[in-house]
Amino acid sequence: MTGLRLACVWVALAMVLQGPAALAAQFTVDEAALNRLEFPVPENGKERAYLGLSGNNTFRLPSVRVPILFVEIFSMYCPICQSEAPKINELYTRIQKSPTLKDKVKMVGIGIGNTPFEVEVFRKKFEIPFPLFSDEDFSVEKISRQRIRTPTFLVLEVEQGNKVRILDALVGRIEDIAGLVENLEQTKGK
Amino acid sequence: MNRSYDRFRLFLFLAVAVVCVTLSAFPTSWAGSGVIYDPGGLKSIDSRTTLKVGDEAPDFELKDLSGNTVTLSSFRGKKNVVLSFVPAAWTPVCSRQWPGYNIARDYFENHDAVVIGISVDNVPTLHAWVTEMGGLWFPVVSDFWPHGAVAKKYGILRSDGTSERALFVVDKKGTIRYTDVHDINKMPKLEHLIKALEKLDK
Repeated sequence: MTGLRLACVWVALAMVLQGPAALAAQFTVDEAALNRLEFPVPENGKERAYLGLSGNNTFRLPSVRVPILFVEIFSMYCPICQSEAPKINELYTRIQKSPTLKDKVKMVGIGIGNTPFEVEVFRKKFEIPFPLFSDEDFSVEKISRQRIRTPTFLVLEVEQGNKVRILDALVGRIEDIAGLVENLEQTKGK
Repeated sequence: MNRSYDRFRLFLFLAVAVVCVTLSAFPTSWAGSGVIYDPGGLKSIDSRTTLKVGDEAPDFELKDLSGNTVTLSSFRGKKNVVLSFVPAAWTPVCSRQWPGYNIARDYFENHDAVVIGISVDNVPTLHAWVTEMGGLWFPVVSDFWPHGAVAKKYGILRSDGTSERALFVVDKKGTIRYTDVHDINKMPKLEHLIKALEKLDK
């Protein structure tokens, strides 16, 4: 009977993890390539302050002044990214409202294959409150040998000024925002 | 006997569990569920249109997904029209292009423009595809029969019976003001289309 109980736990766990986590198991990320990605420092002062960035040039992900960075790889053309946008906005709100997460987790979005104009269309349509970056040249594709599906979510530990390390990767819809927030609360950043 | 029955039940339970986990490994979204057919890299352009900016746009009448007839000339004097030909339903770039236009509705309407999506697929296929997209604000019409007749009129029917990925902007006088017969494998940049619409305002 103990075996039966264990099996129940296993099934329950699998159900909670659902598709994204299972897929993430097959999704490998080249951290070196991830650390080489470069984006323009946002012109918007509020976004610069949010990410703790200064200057007018480019930055790499380890420059973001935060222990945990939550990255959404999206496309304005992706219907799932569109339908999930309100949920991801909700995640941002929950993080900002949480005393433990507010200064611990920051969010950014990377519009794979999207021009700055296309990213702006997405931002305006869904009133995205966190910084979004254009990746017109598909440079994000270099972080994995597998094709990057959208949306893909990366949870990164930031070793300030040095490197980011991948803690988790989720592909597809996030079924449980509350569960994700709980996980982020338990995640220790450097 | 009881013990072996328990083992059998445990085996059965685990078997069901494995199936559950395998199923849950498939994302709920269509993008990753295998319903999109990827034809791989195709010849970028496989036709030659003779239409150019300044020509009168060939008129057409096609049925939309509600069974209504959409006639290009009915927009004359009323709306600018963006004709968006896509090669085939359920293929990678096409399945994203119209959802992109779907969230850019304001950009089209700001320039008094409507979009007409055109595909050589039949109505039931297009119905299923557009429903899976979550619906679109603009009409989608079927150029299935006579097969690809409108695509042929526009000089963009490919040798395999699909159409090119092509955009034509037609002004309120029925004149073509912008053409983009695009590499079939790539997404046309939205701003190029919007800039073409901006020029109509001047």
